[in-house]
Amino acid sequence: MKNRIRVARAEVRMTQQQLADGVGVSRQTIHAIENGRFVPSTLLALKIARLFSKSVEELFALEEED
Amino acid sequence: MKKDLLLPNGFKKAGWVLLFTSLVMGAWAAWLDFDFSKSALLVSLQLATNSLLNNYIVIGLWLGVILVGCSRERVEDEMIGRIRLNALLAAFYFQALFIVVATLVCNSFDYLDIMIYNLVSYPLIFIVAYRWMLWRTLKMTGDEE
Repeated sequence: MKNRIRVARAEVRMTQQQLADGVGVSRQTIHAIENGRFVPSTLLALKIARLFSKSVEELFALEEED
Repeated sequence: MKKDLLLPNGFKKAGWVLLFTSLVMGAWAAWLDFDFSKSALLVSLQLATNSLLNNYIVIGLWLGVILVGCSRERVEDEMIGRIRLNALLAAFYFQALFIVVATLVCNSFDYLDIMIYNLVSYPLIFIVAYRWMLWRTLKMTGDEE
């Protein structure tokens, strides 16, 4: 699954730590999600989307192999 | 819904103390071949019987591993939970392999010796795998982007 979290963060000039604090996870988790090493749960994906005022589909998208 | 079976983060320190002391005593006991009468120190102090020390080692090690491995991290989230589960699975696979190989290769009292170590190998493998996976994740993260 690919995601646009890094881009969304850059648009609002938000650091990984700020995003992590905003959704209640560690910075390591945000880093792992951005790099595609960890797929977040529905709950976390919804929290991230809400923080950026976007829909989940705008931030996360399935790849062909998914 | 926030329901899990994890212990508070404060238990972690006590767990490390228990784990290290029982590991040191376990290594010492193994060196003495589990015969504590070989230790002049223990005999002179009349500190304990074999069973008391053996109990401390096994119970201390299991309790230590539970307190260290099953207490919340400072920031506990779903990725940490995934790492913990993967470490448990890795330890389970290793333990299964260990038992299969020991059953095929060892006989009689050798097998009994292996089973004694087997009492504590599972929690030890779990805690090593868990800390290693956490360390690797932390190392991969690098600086703020």
